[in-house]
Amino acid sequence: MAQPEDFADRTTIFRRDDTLPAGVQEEFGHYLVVIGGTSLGRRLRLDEQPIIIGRDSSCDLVLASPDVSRRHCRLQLVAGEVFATDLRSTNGTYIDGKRAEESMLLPDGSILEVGQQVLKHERRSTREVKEAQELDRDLEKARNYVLSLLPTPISSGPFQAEWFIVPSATVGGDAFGYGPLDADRFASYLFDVSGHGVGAAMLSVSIINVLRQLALPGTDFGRPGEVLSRLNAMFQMENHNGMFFTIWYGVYNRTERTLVYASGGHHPAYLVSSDRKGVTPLTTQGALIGVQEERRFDEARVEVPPGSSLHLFSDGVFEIADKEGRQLGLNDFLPLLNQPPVEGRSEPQRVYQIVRTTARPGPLDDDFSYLVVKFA
Amino acid sequence: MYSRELEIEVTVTGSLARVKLRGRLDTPGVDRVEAKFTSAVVPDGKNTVVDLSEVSFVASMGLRMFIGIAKALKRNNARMVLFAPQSQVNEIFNTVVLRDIVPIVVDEAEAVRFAVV
Repeated sequence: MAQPEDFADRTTIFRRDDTLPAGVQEEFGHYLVVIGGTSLGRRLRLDEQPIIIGRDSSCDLVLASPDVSRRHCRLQLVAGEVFATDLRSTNGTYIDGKRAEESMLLPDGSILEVGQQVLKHERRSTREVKEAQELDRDLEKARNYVLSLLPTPISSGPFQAEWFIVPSATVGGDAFGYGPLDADRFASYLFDVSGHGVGAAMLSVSIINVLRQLALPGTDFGRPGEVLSRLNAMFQMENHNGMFFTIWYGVYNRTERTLVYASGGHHPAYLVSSDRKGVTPLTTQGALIGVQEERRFDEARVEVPPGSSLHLFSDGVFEIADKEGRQLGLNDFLPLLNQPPVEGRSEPQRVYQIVRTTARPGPLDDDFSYLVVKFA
Repeated sequence: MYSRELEIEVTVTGSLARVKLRGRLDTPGVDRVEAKFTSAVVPDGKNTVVDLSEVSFVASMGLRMFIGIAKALKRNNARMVLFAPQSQVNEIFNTVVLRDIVPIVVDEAEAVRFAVV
């Protein structure tokens, strides 16, 4: 068969003119960018006038979070350098993981932690900031689209579900879903695409659309092994820019009070008893999805006592480095499942709060996704 | 920095490449070493043994790098074998059933035996 002419020969590359007119000097400034917590992506320029960060509405940068003091810390530009001063806050002000006892230098690129809020100091030109803002707006749209594909929490009825997701970049490769297959059966799943950022998010959008629309031809969605085999055939990494994913998929039958499940490259999900004393790992040790063709995925079945909860989460929940730089793993995380609930917080939010305070400053290393399904 | 940046050292002897990695094999780590790793072993189809004794963590991008290189080597009739993973790293390999794709053994001598079969 005749090959088309080399596409590279016909590719035209357009380059934006980055040069400034002669005699025009770029203007640089110091900026604080929110990279963790609420108000992600918010950017504030620092100038000679000091700024106060706190929870109080009179502050220059208001961070409405209970762990931020009313007037938490002050930032000031002195001779071209930024200094941070803690204003006797309850939870302290940290620069690159060290508590700021008095006025401390905030170097370019350093991380400022105010309660659970994480900010980065950047020295940027006005033009760079404008470009970054345009990119941020596009990423925000992508993020909102991904979030719009996630199901709404369910607060009553025989199946209840609550979740919390925080991508490590603006968008991430984790996603999950749940919903009834018929009057008796309820499916739940969570998957994690390798890597994070826009590339992983694009593949995760394809996968979630397939699953939420039950769009795997000839597949019984009540058979987790069959679902995983079909996904594996459909999403081979050679056809998806070298990306693969892990998944846990389960179907609860409320008449039989059983949960049938299968996992592909994913750590266990956990069935937690109503008194939180019993924590049962649920895994079938299946292969990563998309790496090898013609894989078979085994299923397993477990009885579900009344009031039990199914905890599904991504590895970003427990694969964190703590403030001392120690790498934590699944076994460090598991005792959290036995701990009592916290008033006013959903179970996934309770876990996130603990993970966030344990982890080193800055965004988490990987996406945090946590889904809890409760069976009445 | 809170943790050691990933380092790579490649020694080639005949048709065997010995790769030593040190540090965290997370996304920035993979960005740092993947091109060097791939270009050292894939084009010439070197049988490759990878020393993981000083790797403290492997993220999904690290798995992707190993899987990608193992598949590329297989196409060139060569093999890659990982050896001496730390227990936490081994736990990650067990979860994703990496052994089905890339052999993982306890020491270098066994890795070399596997790689040159």
